[in-house]
Amino acid sequence: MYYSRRSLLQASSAGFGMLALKGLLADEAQANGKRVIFIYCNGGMTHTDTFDYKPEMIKQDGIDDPVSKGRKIVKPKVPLTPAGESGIQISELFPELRKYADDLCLINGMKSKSGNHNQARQLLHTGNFQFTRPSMGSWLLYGLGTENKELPGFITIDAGIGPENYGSAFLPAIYQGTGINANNLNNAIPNLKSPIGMVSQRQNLDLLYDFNNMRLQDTENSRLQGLIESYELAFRMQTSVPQTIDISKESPQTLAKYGINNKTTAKFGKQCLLAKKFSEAGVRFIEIGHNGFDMHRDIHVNIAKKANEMDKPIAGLIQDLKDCGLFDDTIILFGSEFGRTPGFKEGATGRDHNNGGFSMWMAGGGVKGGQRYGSTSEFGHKAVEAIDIHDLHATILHLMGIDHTKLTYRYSGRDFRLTDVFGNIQEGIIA
Amino acid sequence: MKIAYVIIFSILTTSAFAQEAGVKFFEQNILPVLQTQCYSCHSSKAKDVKGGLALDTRLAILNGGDGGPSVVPGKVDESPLFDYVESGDMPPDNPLDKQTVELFRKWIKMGMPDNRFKHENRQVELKQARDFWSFKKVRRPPVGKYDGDIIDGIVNEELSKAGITPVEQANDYILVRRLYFDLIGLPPSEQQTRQFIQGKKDTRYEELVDNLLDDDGFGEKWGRHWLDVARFGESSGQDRNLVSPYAWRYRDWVINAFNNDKPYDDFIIEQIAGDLLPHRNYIDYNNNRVATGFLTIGTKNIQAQTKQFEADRNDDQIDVVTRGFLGMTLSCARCHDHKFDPFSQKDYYGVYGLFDNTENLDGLYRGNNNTGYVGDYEFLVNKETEDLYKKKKVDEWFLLCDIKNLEAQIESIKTWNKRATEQQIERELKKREKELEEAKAKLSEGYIEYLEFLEPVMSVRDKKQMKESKLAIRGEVNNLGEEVPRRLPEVFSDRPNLNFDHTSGRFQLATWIADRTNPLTYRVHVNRVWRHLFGKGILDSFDNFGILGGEPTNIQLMNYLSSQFVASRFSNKALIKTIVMSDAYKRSSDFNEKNYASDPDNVLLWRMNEKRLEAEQIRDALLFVSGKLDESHKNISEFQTDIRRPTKELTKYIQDTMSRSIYIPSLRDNKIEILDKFDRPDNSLLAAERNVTTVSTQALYLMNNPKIIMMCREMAAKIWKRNMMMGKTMPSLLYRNNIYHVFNTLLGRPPNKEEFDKAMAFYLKGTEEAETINLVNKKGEDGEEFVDYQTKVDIKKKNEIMEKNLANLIQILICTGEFRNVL
Repeated sequence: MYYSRRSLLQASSAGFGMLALKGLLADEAQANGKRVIFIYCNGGMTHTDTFDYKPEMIKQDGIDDPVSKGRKIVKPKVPLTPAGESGIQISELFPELRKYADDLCLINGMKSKSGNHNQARQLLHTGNFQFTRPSMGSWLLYGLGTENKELPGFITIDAGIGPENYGSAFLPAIYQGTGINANNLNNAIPNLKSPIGMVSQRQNLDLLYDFNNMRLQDTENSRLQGLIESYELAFRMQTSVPQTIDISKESPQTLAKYGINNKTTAKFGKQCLLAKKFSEAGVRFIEIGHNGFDMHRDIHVNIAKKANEMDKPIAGLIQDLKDCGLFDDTIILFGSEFGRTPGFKEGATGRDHNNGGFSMWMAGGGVKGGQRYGSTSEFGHKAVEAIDIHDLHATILHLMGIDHTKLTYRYSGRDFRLTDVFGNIQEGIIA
Repeated sequence: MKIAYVIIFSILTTSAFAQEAGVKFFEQNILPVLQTQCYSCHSSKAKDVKGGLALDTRLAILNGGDGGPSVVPGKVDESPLFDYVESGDMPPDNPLDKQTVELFRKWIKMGMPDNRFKHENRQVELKQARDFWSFKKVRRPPVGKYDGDIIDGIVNEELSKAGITPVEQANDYILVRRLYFDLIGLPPSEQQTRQFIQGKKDTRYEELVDNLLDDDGFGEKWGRHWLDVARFGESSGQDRNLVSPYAWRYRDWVINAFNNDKPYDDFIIEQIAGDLLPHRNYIDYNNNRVATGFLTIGTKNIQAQTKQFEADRNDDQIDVVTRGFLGMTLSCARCHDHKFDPFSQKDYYGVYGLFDNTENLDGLYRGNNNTGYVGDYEFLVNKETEDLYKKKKVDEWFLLCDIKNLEAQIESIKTWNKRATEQQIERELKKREKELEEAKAKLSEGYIEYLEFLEPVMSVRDKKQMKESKLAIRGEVNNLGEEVPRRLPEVFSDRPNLNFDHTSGRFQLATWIADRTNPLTYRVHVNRVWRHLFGKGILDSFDNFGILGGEPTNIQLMNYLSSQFVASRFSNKALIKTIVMSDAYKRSSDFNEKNYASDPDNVLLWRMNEKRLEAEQIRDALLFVSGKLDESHKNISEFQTDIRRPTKELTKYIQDTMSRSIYIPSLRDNKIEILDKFDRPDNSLLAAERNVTTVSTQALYLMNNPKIIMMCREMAAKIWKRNMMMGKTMPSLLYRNNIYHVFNTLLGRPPNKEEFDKAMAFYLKGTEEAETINLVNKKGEDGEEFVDYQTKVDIKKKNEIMEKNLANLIQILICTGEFRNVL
């Protein structure tokens, strides 16, 4: 996880293939982004009830679904109304988030190649669902390195999804996501607690240093030097990491900001607060997972419940990032692997999978807020002004100052990219 | 500085970005010059190609003319072409101006980017491609001139050319530990080391080599390397990740192949086409089927549409066969002609047909989340069913196999997810129930009782009807182009045409790959073996011998090993013995300033490279030194035959087992902390080379993981238990022995003086706390009273402290660089 310039250089000469140096990858455009916080709604969030305002649904509520036979169009129960100065329509299910409407770029024209959870999820995370590929976070970390050598550069906080989504695949393992369990912060990162106490451990490490150092006859033995450094860093991490993730010393105001003082919002609020703390500490990519969006049943009740759990914490996160000056170089990405059908099946109380069109939103560093970008057909079935996953990835990399066509890794005789041979940067999203 | 240069250079030559920028540079600055100034004499279209040098493809430039390669990418000094243009000798009448010469310099430095691989004349391109070193026949170098060991002859010749004197042979302790790890993947015990040290000087080394080659650990070590290439895993991977309860048979087959020293050509043929081979008895029959498990164990996206599913599976098999055995990235030509190597997209689909005409009996039935679980297996013959084999009851056998498969599938369909529609379930059930009924009706009486003895195995067989495949335009399965008859890639078609009429052609492909004259197969193999022994390859590209793979550092050495391997009947043990008997292998890994200055990367092998132990070796070594290594193991099918998800018992076993790592059930996307920490590759992907990282999470693991701590404490406790039984031994001698014992066990050598002193001080650390000092009134000789001190030692407490110190000392040694490296 820690890789000094030296060990990286050594690592690459030992067969890591190409090393991404920012200078060579640099995009021509001025990029603000230093880190990404990805709020992932697992299961396929309904877009028409939340961020994709479809007036025709309201007008024609109850008609036979013209696209998908056997369904009837059902309008959102809670209306989407204009918010902020920009007046973009956001569901009233999110009263707190609405206050930041002018910061949000609603991406209404998303589409995915798969309507199957696992595949679509993998596509969203890795750009591919046929093969095992590195995760978006791994690519970013590989491209930009880390700002804090004492923390993993790619962290998932209760992601609730399989490792195929945050693995490093053929990239070296240091680029994989490290899972953090927000409910057990005492043991958030494995092996961080010394069972023999720091004093004895220091004595152990001193002797270890002597033994290793005796063998350092060869001043060019960078691997042994790297090893010696790795123990010293590990020793320091034992105190620095718990400090970073300690939320017990946060003020009541801060806790309230994230809704951690409230039962409904406490769990997700804690995840958001941790995301902010990791941002502050220099982590490159942070994913927060929230489950339960696969609402085939009782969608109106359930989406209200989910919105309730998330609304306050997300608004708190945005405000807190602003307060400490991190908002302008943090890219927040919010969304799901796909959306949901505008119609209900006969007798059903929920919506089914809809990958032809759905919504995500972005905010923060370099994102042009207060707008709807892309669009779906009149009821939201299909993306009309479409943005696919590769476009999304290309745009995020661009916002982070990386040209997605240049961020490559040699494996199996060819150069791989997060965006494969696809991806168009969506200029309209960029401020 | 040197390192930085190498890296920046490699970026320029390898990244797609650099390729693009480089190509632009080439098109703007170099190509026009070549076309107007050079082509008239130096191109395939020239009437008389001067000096045999053509400049109209990148390959032609690399291959060069009569005088050898004309450009070495990146190395201006070694590129004759540059000398010619710089000196003004070329072009003859019209020397290039200084600015243009500088452009040439820059171009060569950039790695000679060139996008003219799309040659107008395919035949010319192929002819030039066949001149690339790896496609050229392996010629045994003239080795008669060397006295003694031929490897040393070849290596030392290069060293003396460079004026380098290699370092001395490693000391005995290092040699014995090196041999143990390199041959069987485990460290020697204290006793084994002693045995070697005390052995007869002139015979002990070779004796040890022979013994280790005969040890079962040999297959467990070397089989692991092949399993990396074979992308071995015991579940389907991807999203559904269904369990493969019988994949272990293939793993065991690989281990046994190495232990029995199966000739490598057979090793190849059986894995690709075992099902098509003749068999003399049922053992052969079984062996051949298990071997083809190789093709079936790749990851599969069970939920993909049928066409996509099959295309991806075929692609996985093409890749593992061509990259695995030939070091050729043919699968790059799935969507378009290969960008660098001479493979057209049609070449790809020619080979694709071989796999498309193959049926996979991998026990998986494609379907979505709700449908699809158990599919068809092949079955092994055993003692109980042997008479069916002997009496050639072929029809009965296949009917029994069908019945077994159908019954399992019917059970499986009944467990389909509730969301599968009733019609779906009914349709699938009905179809199979009907087939089952028919099969049972056809089976003669008295055979059905054999059914219970059928043992499933993952295997393949040819389809009944052969069909040519169509090229998928841009690799899209729903966008088919022309039909491509089954064939080998054109670049290889100077070989006799193979007849694919009635079989898939896998057998022909396999025998062609394994043919003793194949220029790629054995070079690829010996290079990997060399890498596992020397820590670096002769060519540091282990799955790509194409243009981007570069050139070997010592082609003579590679050719010698390759030809020697073929001559010694493809014996891995003979090959490995030849290598480890050489002086080059026995060298120490000591630093030498002078040598380092002239060859910092040790390309010429003036010393041995230190090798970081692989993840499995670290785990196995820890278990071994702590006396916990379990020689038995369990396979997945002992836990479950259901494939839907791993059972709790299985996942618990995976975490708790103390068997050698190669036997740990290898589910995909399954974390095994210690192995992952030390760079175990992702078992969904072919891995011909592993990453080596040194990161603080490894340090944290070895410092703080409860399993490690417990292990060290138990080791210390064991030593102390023995100490207690040694009653009257002098404590100082006892402690000394303890320290020697832990050094010998963990590092395979005794401590030196400095280490010993430090270790002893550490061992005794804090023991003063066990001492109490009492004041005693005494009467002196002169009769006067005085106060004396009496030291009382609480022996129990002292022992406790020392046992704790010893546990810490053990852990410290485990944390050293020396423990995790083979010197």
